Amino acid sequence: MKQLLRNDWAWLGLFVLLFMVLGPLPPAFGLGAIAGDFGVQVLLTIMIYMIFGLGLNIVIGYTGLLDLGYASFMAMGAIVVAAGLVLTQQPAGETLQAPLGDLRLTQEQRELEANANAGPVVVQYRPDWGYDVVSGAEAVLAALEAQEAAGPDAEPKTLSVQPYAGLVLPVGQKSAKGTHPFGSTGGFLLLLAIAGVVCAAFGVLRGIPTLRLTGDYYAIVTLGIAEIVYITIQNEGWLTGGAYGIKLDGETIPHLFGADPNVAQGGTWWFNFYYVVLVALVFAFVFSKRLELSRLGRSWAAIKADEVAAMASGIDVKKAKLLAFLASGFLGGVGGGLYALKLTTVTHAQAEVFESIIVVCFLVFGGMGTIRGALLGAAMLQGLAEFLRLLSDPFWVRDHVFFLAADSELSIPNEARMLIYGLMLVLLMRFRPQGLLPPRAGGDPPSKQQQATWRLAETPLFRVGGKT
Amino acid sequence: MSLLEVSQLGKSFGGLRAVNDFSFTVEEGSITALIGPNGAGKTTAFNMVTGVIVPTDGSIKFRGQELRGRRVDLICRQGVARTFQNIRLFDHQSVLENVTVGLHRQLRTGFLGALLKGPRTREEREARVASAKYLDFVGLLPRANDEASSLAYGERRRLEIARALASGPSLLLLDEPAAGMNPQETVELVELIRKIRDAGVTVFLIEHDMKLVMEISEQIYVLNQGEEIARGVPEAIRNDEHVIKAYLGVPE
Amino acid sequence: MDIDWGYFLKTLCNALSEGSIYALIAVGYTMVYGIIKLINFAHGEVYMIGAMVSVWLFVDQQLHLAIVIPLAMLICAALGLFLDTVAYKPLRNSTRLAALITAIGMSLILQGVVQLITPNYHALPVDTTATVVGLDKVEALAEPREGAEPVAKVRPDQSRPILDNTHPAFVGVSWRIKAGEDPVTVWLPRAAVRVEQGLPAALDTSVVGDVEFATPSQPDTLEGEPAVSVFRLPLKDVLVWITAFAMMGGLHLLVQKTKIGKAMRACALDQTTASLMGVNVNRVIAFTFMVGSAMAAVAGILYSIKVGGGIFFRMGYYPGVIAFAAAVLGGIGHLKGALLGAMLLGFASSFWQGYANWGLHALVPGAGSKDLSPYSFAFCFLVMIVVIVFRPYGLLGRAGADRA
Ligand SMILES: Nc1ncnc2c1ncn2[C@@H]1O[C@H](COP(=O)(O)OP(=O)(O)OP(=O)(O)O)[C@@H](O)[C@H]1O
Ligand SMILES: [Mg+2]
Repeated sequence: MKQLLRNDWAWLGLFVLLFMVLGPLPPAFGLGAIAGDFGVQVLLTIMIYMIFGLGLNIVIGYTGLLDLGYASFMAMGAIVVAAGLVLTQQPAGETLQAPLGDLRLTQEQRELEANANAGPVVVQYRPDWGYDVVSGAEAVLAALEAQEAAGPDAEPKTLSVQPYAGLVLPVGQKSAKGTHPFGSTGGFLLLLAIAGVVCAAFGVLRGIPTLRLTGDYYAIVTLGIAEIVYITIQNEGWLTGGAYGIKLDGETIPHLFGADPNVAQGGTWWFNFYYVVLVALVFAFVFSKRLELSRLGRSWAAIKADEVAAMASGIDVKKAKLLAFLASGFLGGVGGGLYALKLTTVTHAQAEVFESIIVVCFLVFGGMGTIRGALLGAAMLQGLAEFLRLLSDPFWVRDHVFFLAADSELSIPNEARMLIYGLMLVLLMRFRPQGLLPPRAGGDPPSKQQQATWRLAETPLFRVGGKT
Repeated sequence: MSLLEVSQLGKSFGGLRAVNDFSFTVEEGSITALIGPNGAGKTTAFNMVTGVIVPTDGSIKFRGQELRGRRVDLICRQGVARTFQNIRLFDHQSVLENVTVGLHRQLRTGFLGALLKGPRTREEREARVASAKYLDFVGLLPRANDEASSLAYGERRRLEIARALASGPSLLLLDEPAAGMNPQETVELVELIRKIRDAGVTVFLIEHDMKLVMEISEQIYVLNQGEEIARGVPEAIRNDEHVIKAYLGVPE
Repeated sequence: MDIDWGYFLKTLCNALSEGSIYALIAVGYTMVYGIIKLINFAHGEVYMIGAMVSVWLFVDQQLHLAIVIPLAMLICAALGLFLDTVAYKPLRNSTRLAALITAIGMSLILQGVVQLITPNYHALPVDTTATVVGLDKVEALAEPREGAEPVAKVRPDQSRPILDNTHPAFVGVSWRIKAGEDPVTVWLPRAAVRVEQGLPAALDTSVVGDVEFATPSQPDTLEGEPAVSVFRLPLKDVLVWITAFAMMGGLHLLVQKTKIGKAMRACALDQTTASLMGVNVNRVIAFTFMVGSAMAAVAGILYSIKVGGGIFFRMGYYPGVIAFAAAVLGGIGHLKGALLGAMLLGFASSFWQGYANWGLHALVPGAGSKDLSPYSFAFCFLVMIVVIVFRPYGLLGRAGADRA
């Protein structure tokens, strides 16, 4: 039993089994999950946060650096996928005819005060009133004047305009279905890989200035960089949608294994998406595990234990750290990309410091440095968070807590989550700083027979001086 | 040409001159010792040779190549390995894994290799066998699976030697290997050091245990307050009045 | 180029006040880090609670400022003592990582508790006005929920808005279009709503007033008459500076001249030696926490006087991190360094807010309507990162000093 508790594969097996049993049934059975099904959404969130936990574990657990900025990766992965989906749906340059009366100019544009008034007319379509003029106001004004000169009875004119390629709203002239480059399963996986690579690159970039830092200075620098990323996401609306975020809808969300995310077939889509996420989780597990058991993983553990001794053993500490940032960023990007589809609205809230701290909590809770700890921490804490969300609804509480009166208003406010996470961190550090499932080295001493085989074995790697 | 040729080595920490104008050589295949009272600058000299700190002045030539200013891990790759005065093991890893880390520079698998091939490769198997054989070499094989932090003092020192040997050095620097050992362990250590030298690894060591130093070294350098005060064979050092004076000033 | 001196002086005032507030927070970080090498993450929350308590005492309880300041200092000192005794003291012998994580935990706990007590901005007796930034975008994007009118009709200037802060990412803004009608609610992303809360008139009139003088500016070519750029020296800024400098001076005397101050300096140098010399290290650490927290309380009061709003459970986070940055910038462990660093960051942040856009448009002709002012905190963080990476011992510290 003890052996089993320490076996990462056993924990993975347990969780995969649970996810399959609790998850949606194939729609063919007719009992399939519904898109809005609370349980499925919770399980999806848990799986995605497990991927985040595994990713952050590479830096915190394996390499021993307290990273307080992981939310940057989660958010950037989500933005790359969401922006990628939305951007490619709005081909710039394809002209269309817009009724002149539907073109809307701002006051500055009317007075030709705003910049970029010359040039071709670029518009952004808004379903509620028509087209916002993004640039090219001069031409619009000229057309309006011509229209006025022609008198009120003249035929209403149209103007040829180009749709805006910006991201504030995913609307405009959409490409015909099926031509969307990321609209299929393969396309989506490609986009996910791009998100991973972008985040891995960001991890390396971010890592370069922090290479010499350890301990709390490393922590505060990652926090600072994450805040810069957060502020940037909030303010660079042309890419991230700014405060409004990027919205994905039935048109932009890719088809997965032929399933259309739109309502009629939605159940199948969610079923397929669920299993895509589950496979991604297994992938993240194998990715982490293989690295952990490799020469690189040993280097990380050595750096965590003693950087100088690691260097003196021939380890290129900087390179090993950069590879840890790269691997961690990659998983963060992939997880973030999946999260984009689950959320459907990606905002800067994903980059908040509290998001980073949540994932740190998983690792602290589960046990830093072990995959099983990351999995267990994510499952228990994210599960707890979702449960608290239920408890914040007085109707749910009234219906599910048997001794309450029928008109009870009792509930636990959503804000309590922060408090509970905080308490948990403090209590764990006080009473069980190693977490629930800490790493444990060693085992029974090698048998006499094993020792003898080792002694007799020959390998070129054993060489003292000139002799082997 | 000597294996290690150091000339006019110097290091200042702020106003403190820890090592000053220290020149020495270590001959290939020898056991050379560096002694001196506490705070003489011995460890500082070791740190400079292995790149842990950068010298203020001087040059360090190993097989004719300049080591000064080179990164610690690259110096290790050149074939210079060391142990630390205040034993620096990877405490929460097993004894065997500690040695496997030492094998780092002899292994090849990189990031992509690890992801594509997984842990069940021939290289990993060989690395495990080799680590076990290094442990056997220092007499720690039965403890292979224990956590490093559970070892006794003398065993920890030997494990550090095994880890250093695993990087395949031609020069091994030992910083006070006998410190904290009982007489029995010290006798075994002398045997081990001889065995290492006989296998072809040059040994350069710092030690306060004069009996041990006199017994095994061929050449001895004496530092006091950063300055070299004597050099020579054990017999000469034993009778050198500067050395006696330096040591009398600081009771051993 | 003509310079608008009135605007410049206003920015300068803001910079000095911002710097003073950061300085009072930073000394708490620098003293604690100097002795136990802990980034006390919860320190920003002590500042937040100082602001909360002072508004409560001042506005709700109608106490005089001369009573509010010492009372709030006492309350926060007690909070500091509580933090040290309950959270940090038991961890003196464990790893620094454990202590840091505990500090993060305490920060979350304090935020959570305050949020539970005062879940909405309404909980504080302040006048709330909301300005919606970029009306065009709001009209387009606000997703009407549950019976809201088509948003295009809503104009924020039609009446005072009522805010609903219950959703984590959105703010519900309700306007009454016509008197007697039900209000229309629009749910907007948080960042789209700029909430300004003014303290009730009490603070603005009884304690502070304005001194007015004029600086001539360039003649207005359109009207042909010289325009006058008016600069009002707000007495509340003066109050902030005087209080902050008095506090810093008092702290300096405490550390340099008193017995306990000497003990603090001894502990910062070497705890083991200090304890061998008969210093009760634990008591000194507790005292340090109390003094630092009392200073943070003053910072909170000054903030509420200066800004008069934005007092809520998250308010301690950014000033906290920036004050830590200030402590590092000056050289951690030095009181003077904390003051210097805080002033530099206060100037960086205020002048960035005041002049970044002006600079952008002067330098980059095609910059359009790009707004750089939200990046003022990002700029402060950047300064912090650069300092930690290239000069971890700070401006006044010496090389070779402990670096994490
Ligand atoms: N990193 C450092 N910073 C400042 N001073 C140092 C540093 N390392 C060593 N010193 C000083 O340099 C001098 C020489 O130290 P070193 O450790 O080399 O002595 P040692 O000969 O190894 O002594 P021991 O026998 O006690 O190990 C000492 O005075 C020590 O305090
Ligand atoms: Mg030494």
